[in-house]
Amino acid sequence: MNCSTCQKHLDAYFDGTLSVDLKIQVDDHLAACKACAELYARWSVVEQVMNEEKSTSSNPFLATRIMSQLEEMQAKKYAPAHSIAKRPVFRPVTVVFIVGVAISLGVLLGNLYRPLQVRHAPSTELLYLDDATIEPIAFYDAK
Amino acid sequence: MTDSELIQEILSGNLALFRQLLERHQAQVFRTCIGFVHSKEDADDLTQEVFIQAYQSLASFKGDSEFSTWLYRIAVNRSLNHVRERQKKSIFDRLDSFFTREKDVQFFSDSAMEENPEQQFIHNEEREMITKALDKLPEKQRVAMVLSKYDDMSQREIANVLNTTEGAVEALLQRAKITLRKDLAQLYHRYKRQ
Repeated sequence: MNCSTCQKHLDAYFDGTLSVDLKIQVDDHLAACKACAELYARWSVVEQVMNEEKSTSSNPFLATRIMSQLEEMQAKKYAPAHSIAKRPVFRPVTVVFIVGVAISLGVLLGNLYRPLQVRHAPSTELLYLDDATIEPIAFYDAK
Repeated sequence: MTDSELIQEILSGNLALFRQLLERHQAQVFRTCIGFVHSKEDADDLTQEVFIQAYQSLASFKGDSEFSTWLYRIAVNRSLNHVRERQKKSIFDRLDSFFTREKDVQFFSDSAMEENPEQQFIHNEEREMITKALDKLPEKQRVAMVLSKYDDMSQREIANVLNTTEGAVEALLQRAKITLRKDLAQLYHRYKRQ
C-alpha cells in the first residue's frame, strides 16, 4: 500500500468500517511509514477533540429555560388584549381620569381645611388684676 | 405524535407541546452549535436562540422537508452568524473569549482531569490548534464537516440541509480534510519551533 491509498482509507479506518484485509494493510503501512504515522497521530487527536466536544451535554435546564422564555413572550403578546388599560386608545382616558380624581381630591381636602383660630391669651397686666378690688355692682345698685 | 402532528397542535395554540419537539431535537441542535463555537455556554445560548426562532417562524414551515432538516438550517445559519459576529469583535473581547474558552476546555475534557499539569497543557495546546484549524475552514467546508463529524449525518442528509447534491458534499468534505491536514501540519511545525 502506498501513502495516498493509506490516507484515502484513514477515515474509514477511524470509523471502523474498513474491511479486515484493508485494515491489516493500513496497519502495516502505518508501522512502516513515518509520515503517514504522524498524519494518523495528528488526525487521531482531531477525532479525539471532536468526539470530546460532541459528547458534551447541554445544560439540563435548557429546555425549561427555553419554554419559560416562550411562555413569557406569549404572555406579553396577549397582554394588551386582556388589559383594557394597556390598550393605546384607553391610555389617554386613564390619564385624564387619574388627573380628574387628583384634582377632585385636592379640592375636597382644601375645603376640609379650616384655618386655626388663635385665641389670644390675656396679657400679663390683666392677669394681675385683682377682681376683689373692683367696685362691686351692688354699690351702683344701692345708688 | 410525529413532528408534523406536534407542529399542527402548537400552531393551534398548544404551546406546551413545543417541549416535546424541543426535547426530541435539542441534543442534535446543541451538537451542531458546539461544532461551530467550541464552547458549552455559547452553544447553550445558540440552541436557545435556534428554538426561539424556530417557534417564531413555525408557521412558515411548509413541510417540504423534514422538520429536523429545517431546524438544522436555522442552527447552521445562527451559528455562522455568531461566528461572523465574534470575528468582528474587538481585541479585548477576543481576549475575553479566549479565557472563557480555556475554562470550557477544562470542563470538556474529563480525561484531562486525570492528566498531570504538563500533559494537560499539551492537551489544551493541541485543542487550541485544532479548533483554530477548524475555524479557519471556508464556511461551506466547515458546515459539511460539522454536520458530518458532530451530527453523524450522511452525505445525503447534509446535501438536504445545504440544498446541494451528494457529490458536492463529498467534494466539500474531501477538501475540508485536505485543508485541515495542511493547516494542522503548519500549526504543528510552528508549535514545535516555539
